[in-house]
Amino acid sequence: MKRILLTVLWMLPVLIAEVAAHLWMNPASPAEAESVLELSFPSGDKSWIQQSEVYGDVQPSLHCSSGWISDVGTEDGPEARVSFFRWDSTDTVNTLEAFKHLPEQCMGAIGMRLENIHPTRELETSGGLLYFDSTQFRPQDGGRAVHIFKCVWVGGFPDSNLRDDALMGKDGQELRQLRLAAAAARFRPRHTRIIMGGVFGMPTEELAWKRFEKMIRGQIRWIDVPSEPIRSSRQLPF
Amino acid sequence: MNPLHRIHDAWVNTHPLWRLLAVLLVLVGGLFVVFGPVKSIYRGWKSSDNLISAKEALAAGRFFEARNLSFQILRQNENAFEPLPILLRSTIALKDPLAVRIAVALLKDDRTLPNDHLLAWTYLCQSGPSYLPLNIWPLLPEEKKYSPDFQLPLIDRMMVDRMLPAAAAIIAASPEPYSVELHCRLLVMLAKTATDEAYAEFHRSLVTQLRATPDAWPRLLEVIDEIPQSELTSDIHNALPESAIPATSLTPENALRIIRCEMAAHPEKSDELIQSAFKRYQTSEPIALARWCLQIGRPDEAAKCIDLEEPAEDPGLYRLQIEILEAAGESEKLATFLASAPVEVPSWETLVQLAAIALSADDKDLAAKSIKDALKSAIESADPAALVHLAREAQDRQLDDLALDAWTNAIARATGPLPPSQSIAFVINELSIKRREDELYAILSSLRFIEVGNQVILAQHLYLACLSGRAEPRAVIEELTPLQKQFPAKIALRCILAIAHVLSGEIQEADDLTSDPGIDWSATSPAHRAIRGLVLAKTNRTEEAQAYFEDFPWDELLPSEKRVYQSLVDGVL
Repeated sequence: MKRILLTVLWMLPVLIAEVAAHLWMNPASPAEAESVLELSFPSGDKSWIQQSEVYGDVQPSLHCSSGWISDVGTEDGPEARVSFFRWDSTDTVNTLEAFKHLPEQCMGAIGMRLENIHPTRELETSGGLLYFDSTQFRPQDGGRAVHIFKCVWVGGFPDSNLRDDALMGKDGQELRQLRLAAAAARFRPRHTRIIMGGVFGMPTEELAWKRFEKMIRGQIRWIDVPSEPIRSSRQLPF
Repeated sequence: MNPLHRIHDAWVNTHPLWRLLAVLLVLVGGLFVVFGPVKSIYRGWKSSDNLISAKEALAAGRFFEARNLSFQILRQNENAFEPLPILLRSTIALKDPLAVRIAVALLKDDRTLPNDHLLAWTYLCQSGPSYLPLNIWPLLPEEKKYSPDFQLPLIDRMMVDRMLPAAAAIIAASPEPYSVELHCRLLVMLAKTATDEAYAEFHRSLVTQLRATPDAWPRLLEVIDEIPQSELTSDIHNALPESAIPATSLTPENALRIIRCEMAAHPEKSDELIQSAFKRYQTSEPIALARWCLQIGRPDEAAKCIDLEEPAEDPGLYRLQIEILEAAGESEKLATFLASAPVEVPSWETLVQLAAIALSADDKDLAAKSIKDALKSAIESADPAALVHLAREAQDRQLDDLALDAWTNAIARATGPLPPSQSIAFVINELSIKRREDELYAILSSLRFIEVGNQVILAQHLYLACLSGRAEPRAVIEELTPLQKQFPAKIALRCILAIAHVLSGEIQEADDLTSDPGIDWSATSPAHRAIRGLVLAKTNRTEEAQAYFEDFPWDELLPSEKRVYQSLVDGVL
């Protein structure tokens, strides 16, 4: 009996911690509708060619709920690749996954050299401003420039910015600090979205952005979905 | 106690570890001082040893070994000169494209011996991109420019590249009287021009030369091989020296050439003369007789000279068989022969002929397959000249698509006897018209490497590099501004520089470059018009700009041009 009591006493702090964590991360609030970012695929447009195989290859590592990847081009060949990923009813880690991959990390892995980090681009939409991180790459042995524009939208954090946001830490590698920060801020959004585009062979970032913006502007939608409340609508404190 | 004793005491009293370290330090220092000179002595000895071995390997025909040993010497001392002549000979023997660069290095080095200089020059003229000898030529000393050893290889190369006026200009710069060889080159140029005026001038010049240098008639007469029998006149026969007509010690080729002249002088006796030629040479010289029959346009007679039952194993004889069958129009047999070529005949050579036969028989599938295989075979060939030869052959046979592909591949690979870019400007134009931008960029990149100093290529390459995101507009401005100042009248340079300024946000500079009222924009290319229109639009002269884009032929632009100009226009007009 004494032994059982001792075991329970040992387990009690763990149980208390778990319950406290659950209560902290799931505060009771009334349900609210939520406007969620959507980039619809223009299926009628022949210049957009969906790359289902490529999406199938990347989905397992991104753990995203759904999405698509498409080449956009003309009869002269593809001039851009646009990707859209959705994370729904996800946990914090998966949302952080979207944040912590800076373009230079994944592009570097496929032999591209970071040439420039341009100022963040802003896109005015009916649902608010979207922030696009803008980077310029080139193959290691020279060749056509590739401009990458990446927007991470997180439900409840409308102003989140991939590069400047506090979530990133200093270099995006401080995962432990990142997780603690996320817990402290009750960061557990229900919806996360990424719009990412690579524009090939444009001579300047301005023209590449113009091209990319033209491609996606007409496809951006805001969809109202019933949702649990965003646990915290304030910005992270650091 | 004297200082020596003090030092000794100090040494004895020092801890053994410190003493050991001190001894090691002195030893290492000593070795370091001695090692430098020893290393260089060893290297020198090794280099001389390798040089001797390389020379022996070259003399014994072990070209791989000679080449590798020469490289070893150069790796030890990159300024070494002695291995270069060995390297040149071994790379030429191995058909290594590197031979071109070594030949150029030898031609530019004052230490090169005369025979090496001549070998390098001859090789460069025969097998290198002709831009190189053409640019080295003005730098050669005068005595070499007038030496037939140096002059003739260049003229011959220019004739192959169909640069006839430029070749004639080199001859014209020679002091008179011209040598027989120079006269022969001029005559061949006239024959290749193949116009009535050129043929008339050919006859006048040949007759004059036959009279001026009668002893040289055998060499002079060789040039009639270049013109068809129908164009030969009686003048040549009449001008032949007396020694030529009854000569008994004539070579069969010369005797047959004289018969050609006689036939031209007495066409009514043609059959009789042919019969006499057959009587005399059918048994003893069937190959020469068959070639002669082809020259006089009698392929059926040529077919009687050599066996046409089976494809010959000798490549020369096989090619003659093919020529006869082609001239005789025996397509079926020709196709069978082409399928059984000797191994020495490269397959692209037979495939291109097969493609021509298939096209004439309207067999498009076979033609397409043969064209594809011919190109593949030339690309995979170990002979660096294969693609250039294929391109010329395809051009002669009016297989335009194959010619374009072969030239494109040859230029992009930068190997073989490439003509200068202005001689094959049609390749650049065709690729532009067909909007094959990646290939266009590849050949411009290659030409920029081959034709260092060619400002047209430099400007075109930078323009396309900039528009396709391969070069920063700033880099284009930095490279082209001095060139534009040197050639201010060149509209193309102004426009390229202007678009680079537009892309850098320097609109005023772009306007300054394109605002010359003397430029007739309606006469310029669509791309140039677009650039001017863009500058006007960016300087708020919208109405004027709109006129430039009215019914604008966007589809005539290269994909990059179209993409960039449309993006720039978007939202402005």
